[in-house]
Amino acid sequence: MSPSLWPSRICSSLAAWGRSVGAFRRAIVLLLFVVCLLAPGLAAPALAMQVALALPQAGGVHQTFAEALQRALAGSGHTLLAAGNLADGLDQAVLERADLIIAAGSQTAATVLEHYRRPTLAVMLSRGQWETLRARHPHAALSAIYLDQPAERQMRLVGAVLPRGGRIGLLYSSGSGEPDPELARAATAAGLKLVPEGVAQAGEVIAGLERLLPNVDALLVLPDPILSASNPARSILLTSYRFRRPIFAFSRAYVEAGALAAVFSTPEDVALDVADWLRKPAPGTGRLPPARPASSCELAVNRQVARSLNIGVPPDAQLRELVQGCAS
Amino acid sequence: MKRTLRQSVLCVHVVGAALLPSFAASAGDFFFDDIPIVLTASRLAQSPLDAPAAVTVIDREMIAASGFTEIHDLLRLVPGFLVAQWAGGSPTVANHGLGDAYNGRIKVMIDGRTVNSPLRGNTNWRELPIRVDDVERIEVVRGPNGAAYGANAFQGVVNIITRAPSTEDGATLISRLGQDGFYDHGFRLSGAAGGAVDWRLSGSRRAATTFRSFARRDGSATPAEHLLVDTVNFTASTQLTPHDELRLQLGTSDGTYERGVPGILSDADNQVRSRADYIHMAWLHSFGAESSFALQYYRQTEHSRPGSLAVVELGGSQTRLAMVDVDVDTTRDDLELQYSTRLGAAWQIMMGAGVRQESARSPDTFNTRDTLYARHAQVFGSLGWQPLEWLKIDVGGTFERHDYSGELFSPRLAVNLALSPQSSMRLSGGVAYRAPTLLQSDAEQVYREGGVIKALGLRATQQLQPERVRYAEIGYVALLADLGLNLDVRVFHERYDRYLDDRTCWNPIIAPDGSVVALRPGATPRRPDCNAPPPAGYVPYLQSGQQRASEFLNSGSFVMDGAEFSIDWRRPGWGRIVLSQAFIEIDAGKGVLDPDIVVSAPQAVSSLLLIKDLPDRWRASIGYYHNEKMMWLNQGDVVPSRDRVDVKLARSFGPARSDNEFAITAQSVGGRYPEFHEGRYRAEPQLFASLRLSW
Repeated sequence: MSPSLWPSRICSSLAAWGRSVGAFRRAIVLLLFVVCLLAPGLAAPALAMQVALALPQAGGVHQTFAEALQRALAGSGHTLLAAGNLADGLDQAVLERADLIIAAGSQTAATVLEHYRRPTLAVMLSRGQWETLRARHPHAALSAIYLDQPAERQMRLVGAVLPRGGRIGLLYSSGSGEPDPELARAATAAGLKLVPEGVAQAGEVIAGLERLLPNVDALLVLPDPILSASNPARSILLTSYRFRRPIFAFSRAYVEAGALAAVFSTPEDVALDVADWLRKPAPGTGRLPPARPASSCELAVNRQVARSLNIGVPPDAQLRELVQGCAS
Repeated sequence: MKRTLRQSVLCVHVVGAALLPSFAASAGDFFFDDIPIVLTASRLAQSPLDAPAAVTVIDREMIAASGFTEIHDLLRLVPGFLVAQWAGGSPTVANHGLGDAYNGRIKVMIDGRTVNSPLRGNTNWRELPIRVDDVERIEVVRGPNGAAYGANAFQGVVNIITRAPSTEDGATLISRLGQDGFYDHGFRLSGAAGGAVDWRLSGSRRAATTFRSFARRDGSATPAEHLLVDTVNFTASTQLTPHDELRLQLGTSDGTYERGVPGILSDADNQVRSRADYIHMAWLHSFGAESSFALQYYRQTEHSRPGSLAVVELGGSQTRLAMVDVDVDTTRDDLELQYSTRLGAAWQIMMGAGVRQESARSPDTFNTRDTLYARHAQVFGSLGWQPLEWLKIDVGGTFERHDYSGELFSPRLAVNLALSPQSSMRLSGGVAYRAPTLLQSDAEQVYREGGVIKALGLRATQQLQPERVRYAEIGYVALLADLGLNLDVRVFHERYDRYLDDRTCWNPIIAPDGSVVALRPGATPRRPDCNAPPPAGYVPYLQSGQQRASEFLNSGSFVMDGAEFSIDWRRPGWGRIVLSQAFIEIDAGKGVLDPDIVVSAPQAVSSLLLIKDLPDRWRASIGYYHNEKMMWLNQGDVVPSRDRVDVKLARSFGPARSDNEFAITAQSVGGRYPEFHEGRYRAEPQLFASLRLSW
């Protein structure tokens, strides 16, 4: 099934109306119909769409995303319809008539895909979750803007803080698969060497860190269904500090908690990305964009940790320049 | 047909839950989930570049390489610190001199819990319920720091930080076995990582002969000491929410110390039992990375059961044997809260308050069977202002009220000038106090015979003023990460007054009818009278002459000047060198009773720790410790210029992460050396093997 969004419904409506009117009008309708069919190939403004937004629950970061998207779409001509949330109930009517469903969170996307055959853009989820969704719904009109940062962006940050290069450890849960090979390539490009260390379960975190940390200059932590939980994260932070190794993380919360620095995308960044795509008529000519990370990002640095570990982190502006494309 | 929205929602929930178990963890939310804020500004080790005082950190690598197995020995690595053992009590530690057997001028804390003894203010190092193997690092403030810690942070602060249980798992067994019956067997058990509660249970049994008796030139024998100490600790912490952590620590140390001179009657039963227990609870709430609140309570007790036979010195060469009850029981209850936060980009503030109650009971030390209590309250705070990137000003102070020293305010002003991103200069000055201890405030040491007080020992005969030091220092710190080199230089000037000391005083002659016999004019003019009359019921052994006692007093002023430096160079794969040296000069002013104060500091004290990584997982380390001639005060005496060299050769083995190690350690390879009192004590060399296995 083609993931086109709007032409088929509008054109089929025109065709149905044309059959019911006189010859002259039918000619006009036919002309419109032809234009309609050709429209996807023209650089014409996108037609206004009914965009349904489904959230996992009210409030929190997803609400922040919803509000940011509302602001970003103001004046775009598209209509953003609140389709409720998983916790309080989804609005079936809104979802059924929408031209596009934006599903925030993996569970929301999974639920929407199970029940509605509408083009769906999943947001506010991890790359791993996106890949699981795609695998479960290989033929659905589906795409995603995921939160994981591109490997080269991550490594540019590490390289900017450790300009002399070095070895960057990566702790990952082996049950989630091997690390993205792109990470090792990006590390090499940034003058670093990636040293991965897999652990099977949360109880092995300290053992893994004790194997890894003596041999690396810093630790990279990525979102992980096992290691990102509260208690393993606590052990990771404290053990790394015990070894005086800085942590490069994936969220502002991790930096607040004691990581040295992170590159990440906020709900606002994702909302702007979605709005940018919706405002542009040309890309994909109405098709869903290819799945990709959010193009905007932000940087966070814990300068207290940097000071305590005697690591000279460049000033924010310089760091932004070095990492490229991120605000701080 | 449309279902109602509520029905639809229900259905969605069920389907979602049934079909999508892999999403239960909601992994995408990790990008926005709170993470436990475990490394707030107040819990991070402050960079020496920013610290308002000179700080030395003894880290785990230094602890392991030094070969030391007791906490007090590690302080030999701190510039200016002097460490001594003696056979009559726990070892003693001083900074820049003024040390005696019960030095109480350094505040010592374990994980924020003050462990100085309420009785004398000293630290009973060997009785501390802590194992070196559990220590993560020791942070030492090498000068007065009353502004941050209140009275008794007088010449330094030692903060011993144990390893967080959430950074350990599995189990460890360690066994050290050496000469003269030395052994130190320990264990550690930790909860699995990632659990709801992180915990560690550790313990050890240690036996050692620290001093052996030897014959002096005059044929008399010197005291010996043999000890057996058991220590057990339990620590647990749990993260209630990403912002709230609860900690519980409890432990005990139980030791038997056989001390005395073989063949001397009074030393025949000189077996001392000492026990220390504690419970320490803390709640830590983090508002953010730079804003946190902490509330802690701890209770600790000490029990000492020395022998009951004592030699009473009456004056001259006259002595008597007496039975005494100098068992000691002390408690400390302490409640403290602290809040710190950042006020905008340039301002940082910390404030707190605490209350403490201490008690002591020792019938013949205080001439009462009652328990004595002392209460103490304090408020403290500091304000850091960084108006320019290269300028940081820190103003701090502690205001406190002691039952036995009144109201005190200890202020400090420190200015840190960043000379480069990796170096800074520090100018600081302030005032600190040492409050009189319970013993100095209330002592009335009595020797009885048939219930009658026949002699007096230590006496609190007057209201004492707290000892005071006014200080100024200039420091330079460079952390040259590219070179692997850290430099720390400090020059200081300290003015002490109201120095707390004790002196021999003489009690009046008491006639059999209880009346005071007047001394003949001009008799024994050099004998100072005790400042207070003897207690009721005092019927001295000597009917015709004065009997001696000792009394506490404030005595005079003096000035201490000095300089110290440390160089810490590390090269991965090669090893590490840590060199420290201090030069001290004391200039006594008028009114100082004890002229030995001037020589209580060695002109120079040095330490060198060399760590060399060798192939095939071998590591060698050498510790060198030197001090010029000096004098330990009161119970101590002259110690000549001396050197001590320790050597450790270790090999780790097993899987990469394992902590397995086999090592041979030789302490004081040059043989016995004079310790604390040249004529009485020779520290014994020690050779031992150690094996550590971990799972």
